[in-house]
Amino acid sequence: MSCKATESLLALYVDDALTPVESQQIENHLATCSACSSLMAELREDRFRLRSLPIVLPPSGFREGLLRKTVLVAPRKQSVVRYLVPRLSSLAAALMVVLLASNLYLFPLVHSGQPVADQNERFGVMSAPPGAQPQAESDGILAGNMTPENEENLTQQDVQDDANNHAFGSGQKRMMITAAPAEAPEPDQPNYWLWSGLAGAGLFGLGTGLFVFRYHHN
Amino acid sequence: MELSDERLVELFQQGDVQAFDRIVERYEQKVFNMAFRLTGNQQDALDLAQEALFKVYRYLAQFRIQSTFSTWLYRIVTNTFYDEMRKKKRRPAIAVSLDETIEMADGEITRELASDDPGPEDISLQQELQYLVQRALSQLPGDYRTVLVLRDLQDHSYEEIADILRLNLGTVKSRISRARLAFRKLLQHEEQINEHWRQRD
Repeated sequence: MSCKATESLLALYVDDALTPVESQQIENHLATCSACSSLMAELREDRFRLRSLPIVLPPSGFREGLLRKTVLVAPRKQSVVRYLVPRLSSLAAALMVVLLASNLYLFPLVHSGQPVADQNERFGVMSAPPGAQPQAESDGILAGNMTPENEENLTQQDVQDDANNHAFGSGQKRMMITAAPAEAPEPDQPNYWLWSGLAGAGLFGLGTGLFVFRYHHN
Repeated sequence: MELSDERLVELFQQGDVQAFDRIVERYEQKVFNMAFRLTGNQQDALDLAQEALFKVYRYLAQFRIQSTFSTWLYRIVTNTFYDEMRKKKRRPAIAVSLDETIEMADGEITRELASDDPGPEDISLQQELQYLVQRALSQLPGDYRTVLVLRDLQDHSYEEIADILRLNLGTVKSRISRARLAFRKLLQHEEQINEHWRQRD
C-alpha cells in the first residue's frame, strides 16, 4: 500500500471505521513507514483533542429569550389542519348518517301526497349542496368557516362529487321506481332527491377526502 | 416520567405548547455547544442556536413523527449554519471573534475564550491548547467543520451523519478523511504561530 493510499484511510483508521482487512493493510504499511506512522499518531491526537473540548454552556436567559420569541409568533398553520381533519371527518360521517336517516324518514312522507315544498323547508339545511350558502343556523364548521384548509378540502370533495353523481344517478332512478307513483310526481320532487343526493355524495366525498388526507398526506 | 422526543412532538402537534419548552430543555445545551464549536464565538453561537430552535418551533407542526426528531433537529442546525455562513461571507474566515486582533508586527495578541477572558498570563496550557483547536476548527471550510463537529463533538455515527446531512455513507467517509487531514495542517500551523509568540515573551 502506498503512502498516498494510506493517508486517505488514516483518518478512518483512527476512527475505527475500517474493515479488518483494510486495517491490516494500514498496519502493514505503518510498520515500515515512519512518516505515515507519525501522521497517524498526530491524527489520533487531533481526534482526542476534539473529543476533549469542554462543553460550552448557553448563557443564562437563553431559553427565556427563545421562548419569548415563540409567544409572539404562532407555529405554522398546518397544525390547525391536523387538529380539524379528524374532527371534520367524524362530523362528516355523523352528518351523512343523519342525512340518510332523514331520507328514509322522508321517503314515505314524500309519496304520501304531502307537498314536497314543506319537506324541503324542514330539511332545507340538510339538502342544500355543500357549495351553496347554507342557512345561518346550520353547523358552523362546514358552513361558515371557509378557512384555506376547508376550501382545499372542498376541492377534493367536488372531485368526488362527479364520481358519485354518476353512481347516484342510477340509485335515484331506483328510488323513484319503487315509489310506485300512482299519481304524477310533484314538480319539486326530483329537485329534492337531487339536492339530497348531492349532499349525501358531498358528505361522503368530504369524509373520504379527509380520511385520505389524514393518512396519506403525512 | 421521561417522554420520548416523538411523544413530545406528538403532544405539541395536538396543541400542547409546553411540549416545545420541554424539547428545548432537553436539547438546548447540545444545540448551543454545537453552535459554539461551529461559529467559534459566543455571539454568533447565540444567534445560530436561537435561530435554529426558532425554526424548529415554527415547523414542528409539520414534522413527520415516523422520522427521528434529533436527526431533523441537527439538520436544521447545520443548514442554518450554512445559511449564516453565506450571509457572513464578507467577514474574514480566520476570525474566531470580532474582538480579536492579530498583529504580526510587534503588537499583542488579544484572545477571546469560551469562558471569561482571564488574560494571556492566566491561561493554562490546556486552555491554550483548546483555544488553538477552536481556531483551527474555525478556519475549516463549512462542510469539513460540520462533519468533524458532528463526529467528534456530538459523537454521531457515520450513518447518523449521513442521515443528518442527507449524504451517502461513502461521501461522509471521504469528507471526514479530508476534514481530518485539513484540520491537521491548520492545527499544526496554529501551534507554530503560538510557539512563535510564546518564545517572544
